[in-house]
Amino acid sequence: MARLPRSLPTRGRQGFSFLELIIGMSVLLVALLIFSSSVSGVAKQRTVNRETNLAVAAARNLLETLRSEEFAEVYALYNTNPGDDPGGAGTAPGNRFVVAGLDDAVDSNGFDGEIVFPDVETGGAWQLREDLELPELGMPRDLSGDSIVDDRDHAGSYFILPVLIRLRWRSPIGTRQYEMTTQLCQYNKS
Amino acid sequence: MRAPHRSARSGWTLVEVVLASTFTVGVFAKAAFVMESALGLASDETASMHYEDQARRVMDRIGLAIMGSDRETLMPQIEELHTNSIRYSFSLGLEDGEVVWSAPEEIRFQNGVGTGAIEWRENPGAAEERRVVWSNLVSPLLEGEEVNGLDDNGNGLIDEDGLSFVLEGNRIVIRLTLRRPEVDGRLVEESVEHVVYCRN
Repeated sequence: MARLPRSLPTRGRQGFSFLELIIGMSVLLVALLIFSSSVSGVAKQRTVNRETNLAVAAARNLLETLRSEEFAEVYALYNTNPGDDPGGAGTAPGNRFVVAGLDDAVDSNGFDGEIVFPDVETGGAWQLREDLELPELGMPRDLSGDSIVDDRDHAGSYFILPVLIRLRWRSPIGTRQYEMTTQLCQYNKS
Repeated sequence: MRAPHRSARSGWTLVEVVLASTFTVGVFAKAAFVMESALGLASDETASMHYEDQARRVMDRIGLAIMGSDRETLMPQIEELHTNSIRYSFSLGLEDGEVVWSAPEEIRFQNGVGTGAIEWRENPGAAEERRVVWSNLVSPLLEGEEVNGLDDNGNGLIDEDGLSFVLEGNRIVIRLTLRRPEVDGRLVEESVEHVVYCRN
């Protein structure tokens, strides 16, 4: 029967040295940092998702509000120009709006969103035009229903009204933007 | 004088032990803190997203139900005041040039113990009434509101229920708050607002 050695080699029973412990813990710390940064990234992404949901809901609600207005007055109520407001200058909501919950607006006046129509300022007056090159609004196109695309103001004679609702806000991952485009048209109620 | 002999098995000095212990405890405490925070955050966010999704689904259902109705036939017809129920009929189409309207339907808030419910009823009050509960997690009051005769949440309404309808011109503003106590006793609340325009 073989005899056991009197003592095991000392080297194998030494355990960690202080330096090894420091290195081990540093590796653990780095792993912890990576884990925390990924958790923080997930939290940021959830905030972004929540804000995007808010923006989508706000755009949908605004679109329903536009639909609920008298069609012939939609442009005058929600355009940039306060001078043509149907109830008197400055009485209409205008083209800028705030969304509750999207607190950090990019706009210096604190507005989160804007409504864009195919219009242009010409000689100090705003004109709703058919001939503008705005692909995001499907322009140029006939707005008055006469099958002609001209360069006249159609603020009082539109039959179709292209609308773009744009929201911009600052989120934890930078500036975000959401756009919704549609075309409003006159239809008869049953 | 000869220096004392230190064998390879002599272990750490007291300073090394203190430093190593401090470092180890620090790292593990931080790890525990990070794990706990991460789990807490994930749990909060998951609950919150779950209720937000549910609130939006219920809201879409309410919106779609009312969308096909005629603004003039809605009951009650109170402008700018809030109500917790709405009765409507929606257009089924045209027959001989006349609009065919559906049987009357109602969406209403039913207050319960702790939370309320949203009930959809067809032919409300009639013998052939049909009733479906769309959600039973509705808060008794809208988020931030208290029963004190004041507008606590700044939405222009006073003491509104967890489901409220406001008629503003041709549009209806619907507000809903779902809430539920979690297993740890926290109350998770999610509110959504929806605007609907009656198409008919």
